[in-house]
Amino acid sequence: MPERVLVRDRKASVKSAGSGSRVVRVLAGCAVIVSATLSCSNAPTGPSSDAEFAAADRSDAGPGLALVNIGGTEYRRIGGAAGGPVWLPDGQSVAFWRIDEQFLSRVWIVDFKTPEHPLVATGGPLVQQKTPEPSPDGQWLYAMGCDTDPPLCDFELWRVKVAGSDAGRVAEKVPVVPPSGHTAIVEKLHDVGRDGRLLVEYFTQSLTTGEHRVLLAALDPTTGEIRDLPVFGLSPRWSPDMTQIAYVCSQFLCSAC
Amino acid sequence: MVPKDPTAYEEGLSWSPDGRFILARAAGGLHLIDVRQGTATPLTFGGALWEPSWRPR
Repeated sequence: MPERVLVRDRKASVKSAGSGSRVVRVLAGCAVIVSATLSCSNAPTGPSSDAEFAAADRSDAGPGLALVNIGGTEYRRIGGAAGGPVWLPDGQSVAFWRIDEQFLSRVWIVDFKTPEHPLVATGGPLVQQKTPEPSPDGQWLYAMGCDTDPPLCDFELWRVKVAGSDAGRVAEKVPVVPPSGHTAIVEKLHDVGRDGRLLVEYFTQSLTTGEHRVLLAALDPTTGEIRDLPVFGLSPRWSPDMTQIAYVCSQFLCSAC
Repeated sequence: MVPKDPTAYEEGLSWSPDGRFILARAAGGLHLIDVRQGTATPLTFGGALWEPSWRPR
């Protein structure tokens, strides 16, 4: 999988012309190198200025969930303190997670029409949930969750029905089939691709040598099959067509094809 | 103490629905990145915003 640095900063882009630069060192062995520049303009020139995004807001107004347009001319609060906000595919609801007063991690949904509500009501199938990601059809929310009370809580990969009359009441553990001769424990859920596969980070250990590693992989949630990805970094996300993965690598922004 | 590099990227990024742009969090704020050109435009209003998620069309 060829890798390239999308952006570092102005200094790095200048250095990238030299053989001893940090960019060149980081990219040693990579097939594609794209030097990056930091635009001096503060006016985005690409996407429509009315394109919108949700984000965790840590402004002086206190922690919250904000809906902002890319031009920066419109801003409104749409929810309380939020981590990892993600849109549901219909573009009408945002799922996010927070740790509540009882120190429980829970996923919440806000849909602009009604106040934010929990994905799973108290007493529902999962005691805790975090890092939600929707299925492409919007029927399910995948999340790391656990069905036991703290402190005996091991977060595993689950999915919870998010549409229909049984929304929030049906939860299923996602199967994970370890590679032959190895264990596999999913530690983080990062993304769901348009083909329904999950981009996860998992811990694996050889049953014969004990050697262990943490890897990124594509997980088929119907079969549990894991396919390792030849990249590793923070916040990996597939492009919409799944031909690229963008991720943070040593404070650079990288992509792999 | 070494000041944090304001253009060092942190956790949390989001692709635009058409795949042409990425919103990413740098230490100094949000950046809008043109994927083809490899350029980043700081969003001056994005200093307090983290973990962006682009709205589907």
